[in-house]
Amino acid sequence: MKKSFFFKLSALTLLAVVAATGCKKTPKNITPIHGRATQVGDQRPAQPPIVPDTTPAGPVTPLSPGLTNSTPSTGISTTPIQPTVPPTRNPEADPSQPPVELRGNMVVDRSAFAGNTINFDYDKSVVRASEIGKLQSVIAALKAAPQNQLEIEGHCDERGTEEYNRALGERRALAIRAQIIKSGIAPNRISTISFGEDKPAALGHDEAAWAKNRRGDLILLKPKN
Amino acid sequence: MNFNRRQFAASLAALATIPVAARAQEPTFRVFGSSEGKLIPISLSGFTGEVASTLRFDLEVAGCSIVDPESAVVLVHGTNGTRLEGFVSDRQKNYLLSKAYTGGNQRKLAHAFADEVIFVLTQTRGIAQTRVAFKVKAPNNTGEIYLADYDGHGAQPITADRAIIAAPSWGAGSQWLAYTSYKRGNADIYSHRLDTGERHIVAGYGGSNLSPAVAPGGQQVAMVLSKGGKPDLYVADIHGRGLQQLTRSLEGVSSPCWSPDGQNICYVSSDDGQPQLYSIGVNGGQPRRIRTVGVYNATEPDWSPDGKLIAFTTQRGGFEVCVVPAAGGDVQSLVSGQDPAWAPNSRTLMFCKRGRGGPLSLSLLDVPTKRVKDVPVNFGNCSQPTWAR
Repeated sequence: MKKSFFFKLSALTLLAVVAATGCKKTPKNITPIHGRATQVGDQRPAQPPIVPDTTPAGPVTPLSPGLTNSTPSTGISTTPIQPTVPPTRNPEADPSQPPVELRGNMVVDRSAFAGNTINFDYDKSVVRASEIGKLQSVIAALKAAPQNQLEIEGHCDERGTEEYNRALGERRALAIRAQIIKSGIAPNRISTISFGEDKPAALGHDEAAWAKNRRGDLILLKPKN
Repeated sequence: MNFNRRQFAASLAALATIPVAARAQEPTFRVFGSSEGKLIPISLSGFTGEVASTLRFDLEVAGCSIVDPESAVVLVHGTNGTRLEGFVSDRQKNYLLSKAYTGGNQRKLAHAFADEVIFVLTQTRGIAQTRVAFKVKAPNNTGEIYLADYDGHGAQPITADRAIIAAPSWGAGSQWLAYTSYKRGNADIYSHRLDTGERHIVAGYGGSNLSPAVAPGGQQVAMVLSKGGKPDLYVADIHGRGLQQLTRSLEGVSSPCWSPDGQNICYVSSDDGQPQLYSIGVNGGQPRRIRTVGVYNATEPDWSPDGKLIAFTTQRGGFEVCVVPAAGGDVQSLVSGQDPAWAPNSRTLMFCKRGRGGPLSLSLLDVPTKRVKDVPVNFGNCSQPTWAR
């Protein structure tokens, strides 16, 4: 009887000791963000260092008192690290600014369909039924002049995030394109481009401005001469 | 009760001695885990001018608070002249670091010392010597890609396109970038070598070629192309060869980013109505929804280099920078802002914020402590940061 009591007591004590020391090593209230053992560099050892294009590390002089420095030094090079950025070299021949805006061999005419801009609902890329009528004269003009092409610019208001808006603008341009193709215009005559929120039609930060900026602009492309 | 006193005393002694023994083996201060959510109180003395201000900025971004020596766990001190002499000691004057730094300008010396201080305190690699790229937008909406130190100093443009430009993404080894430029009249994806300035078109298809994201190994680029009739996710090698379409979405996708092992791509799709996060294998397959419990939309994901978290932007009224476990789960909203980008330490985020109608500017966020430090770049509208890793 006595013996078993002490046995239990010592077992409990042992448990308490283990619990106390165990807690010290792994605190329970750690939020799962980042382990401190994480070493980013270790995961991709093949990568060169961040600033690799400089002379080898300069001398690092250890100083006098209480040296406990165990990590290898990373020193600093003696040459300025900032490289001068070479000028950009483009794959295409760099044309001097042309007098008229060109798209390949086509001349850009922004005024022809300036009144036919299609507006969209917030965060939507569906061409509203009320907007489809604006496309009729565009379709008629394209049918009458088969040498001409159309570029559709998709735009957004400023309320989405930047790359999301860039994709949304493209969806809007593609939706307009699909509507026009339905009327029998050849798909290869209609190109799309998205500007996201980069080219607002109206400045301002209210619904009136935003409504104008959620749009598809229709640009006529005519052959040179 | 008949206590066996000797046995009881022995067990008490066991309780008492183990922590003492452990303490004796520990360093004189405790290494700080990165997930504790507490600022590390340190003192900073002896440095002057730009070295002092640079050190203060670096150490504060890394989660330190500069306090009086009486309340500090470690004392950071030293001198700066033609060389920087830096010391870290505990309050018993045991030296944990003592080193001299030569060469480079004052900022470089300070950054190098700051990184070693952070290593002493947290046993993790500092970020004071890292670089970032971002977009700078002019009033006429054209823009250029800039490179800078992580604190915004030494910023310089790498492009001179005078065109709309977007979505820079570092290539592996930090020797090149991919981005979208409208220079040719179309939204095309370029790769751009930083040492030669040479660049190539990765994707110049009809429609828009958007949002390139270079894979961690640097061999592949994920991007959003609309050539298939919707903005969908594609991968190709860095020259644009071997193009493969990964998604066939109803509503289009945006903003791809890679898991650090290069096996998965996280992106945004609105197929369920609201923009949400999805993950798909690099070889395609069924997309998997990454649940973001607590928010109704999610865009601009960035996967932490340690693989644990995905930072993203949600919109409810204004924009908020959030994190969610990479497998999905409860969202932690961190701060007002958008477009977060992880530092190599998987702890610091760079993000954008804007006053109402004002220009976007860059800020740094220490995720565990939610400390925000603004990046002092003073030339207008800066956005879309990407961190060299």
